[in-house]
Amino acid sequence: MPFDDLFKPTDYAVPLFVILITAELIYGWKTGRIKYEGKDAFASMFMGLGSTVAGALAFTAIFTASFWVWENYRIFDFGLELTFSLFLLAFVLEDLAYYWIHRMGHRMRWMWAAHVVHHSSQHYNLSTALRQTWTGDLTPGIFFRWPIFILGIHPSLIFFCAGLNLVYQFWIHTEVIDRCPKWFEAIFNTPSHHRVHHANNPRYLDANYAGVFIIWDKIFGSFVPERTDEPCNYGLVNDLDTFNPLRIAFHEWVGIFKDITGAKSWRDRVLYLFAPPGWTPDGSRMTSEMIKAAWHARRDAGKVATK
Amino acid sequence: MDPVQLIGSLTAISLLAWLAARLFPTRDKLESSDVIVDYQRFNPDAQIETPILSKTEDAAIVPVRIPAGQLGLVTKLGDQLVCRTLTADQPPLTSIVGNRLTLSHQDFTQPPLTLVYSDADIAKIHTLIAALTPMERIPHAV
Repeated sequence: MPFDDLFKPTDYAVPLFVILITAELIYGWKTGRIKYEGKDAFASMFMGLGSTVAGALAFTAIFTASFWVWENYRIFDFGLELTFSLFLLAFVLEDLAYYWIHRMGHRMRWMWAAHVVHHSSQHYNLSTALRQTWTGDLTPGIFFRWPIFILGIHPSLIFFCAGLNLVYQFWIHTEVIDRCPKWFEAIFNTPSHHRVHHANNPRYLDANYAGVFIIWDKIFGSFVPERTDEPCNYGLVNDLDTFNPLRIAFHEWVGIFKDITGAKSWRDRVLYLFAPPGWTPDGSRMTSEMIKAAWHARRDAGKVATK
Repeated sequence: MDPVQLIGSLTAISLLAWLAARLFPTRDKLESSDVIVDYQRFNPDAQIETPILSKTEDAAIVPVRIPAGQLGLVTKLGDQLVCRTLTADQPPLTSIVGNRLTLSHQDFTQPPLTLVYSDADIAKIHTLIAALTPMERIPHAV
């Protein structure tokens, strides 16, 4: 199959998303184990729709740049026919790129401005999976895929794999599933691993960035297992007080703009973009490291109930 | 994007959100105990006094004894709570007109809030907020 014939996985998955959300809603209503909130669910799904529109608008530019890199700088020629081994290689490399895009999405405020949207709900259900950014293409995230294009894998195949990766991540946004079989938990990203990623408990901050394979977190030292003695609290360390999609989409961009225009030096302006979220020149706000350090200090002083 | 697909998606989203709202109705009132738990979760070492609930029982000001120079604000968003710590470093724009307290944060994370209080509570709140930020109090709406 030539790469041009590859479909867009997210388009075809939409009916499945609707069916699974409906099923989770009914399951939650019957058992009381899952919570939804109407306005929150609407905001999440509306952000997903907006993300699709924004992605479609930016796709030509992103694809053209990616194709240019592949055409001019590729080292190897993998051909234009899809084989299983090439697909597997592309899928694994794209997932590795996703890991770093995602990790930087939490560690660089410029990229966090886009990614924060996905973490802005205090609920954790399948609708949360659809709460996606409108501004992801305005960040340096795309550059993390360029090494794969330079290696020689065609951008169409990589974007196809990125779509599959996103579809995979839909089902892990749930509290319906507690734990998967051990072998699966060891290799793949699961609801348990991803609950930790969405939690704002200090212990769980900045963990489990994986898309499909949790092994990247284990290799790069960001894996934190979910604990039965510490349930996840979801949301941001400074939660949003709104369901307004415009505020959800742009609040961090507004924050960056205000910080940069009020900064006293060029060093500070640059760091407001590239330093971790919460960084300020005078340390008046808390980064995740500061929150974790404060939590460790409290734990060492015996003020935290859990071990 | 295909307009039919767009309208279809919006319809599906609206129906699912409507179903979620029907199946999971939100509790109407904010309880003092919920405010305390939420504020202490984000500020475990703070020593606080009894929260001052608004008349509409959807928000509360939390007097903070220690550390000094802080005030808590807990609001109800759907079935969840949102916690803010107001400090003298980054005070919200504040005004009190009659029994109405209006707070505007200097960011884009929260729309301006108007909270209605009883006469006794608004006087307490005025004292608490005046300690954080200079503020004009207008006794009656103009």
